Amino acid sequence: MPSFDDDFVPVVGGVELPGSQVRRGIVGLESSGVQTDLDRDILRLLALHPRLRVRFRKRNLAAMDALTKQTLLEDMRDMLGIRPLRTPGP
Amino acid sequence: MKQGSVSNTVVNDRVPGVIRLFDLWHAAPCEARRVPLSRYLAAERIDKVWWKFDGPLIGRPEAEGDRDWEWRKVVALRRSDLRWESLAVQTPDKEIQGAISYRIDTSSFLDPEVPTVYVDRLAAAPRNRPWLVDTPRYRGVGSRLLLAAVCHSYALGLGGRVSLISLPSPRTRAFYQRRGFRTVNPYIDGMMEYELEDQAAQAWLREEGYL
Repeated sequence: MPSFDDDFVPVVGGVELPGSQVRRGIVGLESSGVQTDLDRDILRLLALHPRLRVRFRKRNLAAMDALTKQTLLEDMRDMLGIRPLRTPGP
Repeated sequence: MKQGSVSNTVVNDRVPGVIRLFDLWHAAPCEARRVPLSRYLAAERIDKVWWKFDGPLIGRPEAEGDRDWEWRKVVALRRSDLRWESLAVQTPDKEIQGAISYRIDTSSFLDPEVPTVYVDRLAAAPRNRPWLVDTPRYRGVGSRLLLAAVCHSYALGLGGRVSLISLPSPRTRAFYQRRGFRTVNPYIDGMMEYELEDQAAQAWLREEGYL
């Protein structure tokens, strides 16, 4: 049987993160009101990566269908160099 | 497949995935799901039941750092705030075996210019803690939740980097170091900052088959 120590994860938490550790200039995430996962992913990338805003900010998510949003998300990830995560096999 | 690995799921978005734990009672792998942690699950499947024990204890629940946490309140405060993500592992019997809450808008302990995901809370259900109960049920819950945060960090363009603050005990330090975490700064109260840098995070993702 595997050792518990190989998988020991202590409880983490209860420590307030110093304000200096929170990035400034991250806006639009506090109460977004979005409903779909695609919208969440797009808004998060836009907020976290200022260089994306220059290229993508004027897109109107409300006017897009899911396929268009998926394409937009893939374009953003491509621009950031984020490789698709694979699905590990059995 | 490795015990505790994730299978048949898309992990670069928020779709709940299948997680393979190890069922210690039956000495067999067990599939669970990674699910968004809702207020309902937090209230009914964590706060109301986690600290009720059927079997003998070998540790003191009141000494556990999360004994007084109210997950329902944690989730309620963060549920519509996209700076935060709260996830849980749910087994087929609908019970929650562990939970994590992290924020995505934070800076590295090592370099303030580098963004990271900060793990604010992480806990396996007390029934799964081998230092607390005589016969823990599942193994792999905590590390799978931590890996979920690494996956999300990578998918958000943060390189997989994850930071957290935890106890500096030898066992804790050994766990994080085995996964490539660096110790950063000690706190006056004995807590320690840990950080998983991009390279180590992606090595972990490769090892698990994601990259």
